[in-house]
Amino acid sequence: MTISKRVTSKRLTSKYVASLAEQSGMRLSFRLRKGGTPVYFSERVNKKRRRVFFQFDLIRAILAMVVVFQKIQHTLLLSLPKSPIDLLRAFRWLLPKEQRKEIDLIISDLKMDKADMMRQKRSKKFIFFVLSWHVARTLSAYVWDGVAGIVKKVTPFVKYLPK
Amino acid sequence: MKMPSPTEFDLLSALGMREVSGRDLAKRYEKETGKAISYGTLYTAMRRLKDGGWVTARDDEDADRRVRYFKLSGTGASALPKLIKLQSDFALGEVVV
Repeated sequence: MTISKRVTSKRLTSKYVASLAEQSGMRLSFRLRKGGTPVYFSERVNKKRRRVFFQFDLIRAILAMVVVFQKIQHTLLLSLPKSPIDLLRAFRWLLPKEQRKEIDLIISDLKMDKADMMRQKRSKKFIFFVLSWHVARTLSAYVWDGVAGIVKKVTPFVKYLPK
Repeated sequence: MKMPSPTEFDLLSALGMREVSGRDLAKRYEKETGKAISYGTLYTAMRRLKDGGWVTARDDEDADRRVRYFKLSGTGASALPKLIKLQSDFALGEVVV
């Protein structure tokens, strides 16, 4: 293992990396790239030590996977819509610009409906179900509109199909 | 001008000659037909009517919310009575298809 005099700032790091590699049964060598960054090459020295190093690495990889999975789960749970209006707001991004404006209008209308229901002292569950019903029907209307649009665009090409 | 669907026809009838907001139109439709309409159906139908030249739409912003007002267009207003007559004739069986 030799360290070039040209990479004085990297020397300490490279030595540390080399010692770490030697501890785990690897021999490390490196070449310098144009910018002065070292590229490491490793070769197996001791099979037994290598196996221990590999096992340790595997445990670390499994732990990392568990942590990543938990993070994803946490993010997904946090991003779940808490009210039907939030669901509609999320659905908005799947639509073209003109229809997004309509969704904004629908959201403001639904907010007015919600305020009206709260003024009538309706229960939270009732409000939630009414809003969910409205949102479900609104979503189905837009999905149906999209499907109808696709069918309308595809229909003229039917005449070119072989009989 | 494209022939409106039954829902669109009911919406046109509910609209009348005055400028109405989308929410009020939904309420008026419910009162006149006895059927509830979702805002999604209402706005998509009104978009089609606007594209067909039956109605005009104007966006406005209140203190804290956006509103879209709909109004029968000139051509829509002149075509609606004919459409209503055609519909009633069809219902009476005077129109043979």
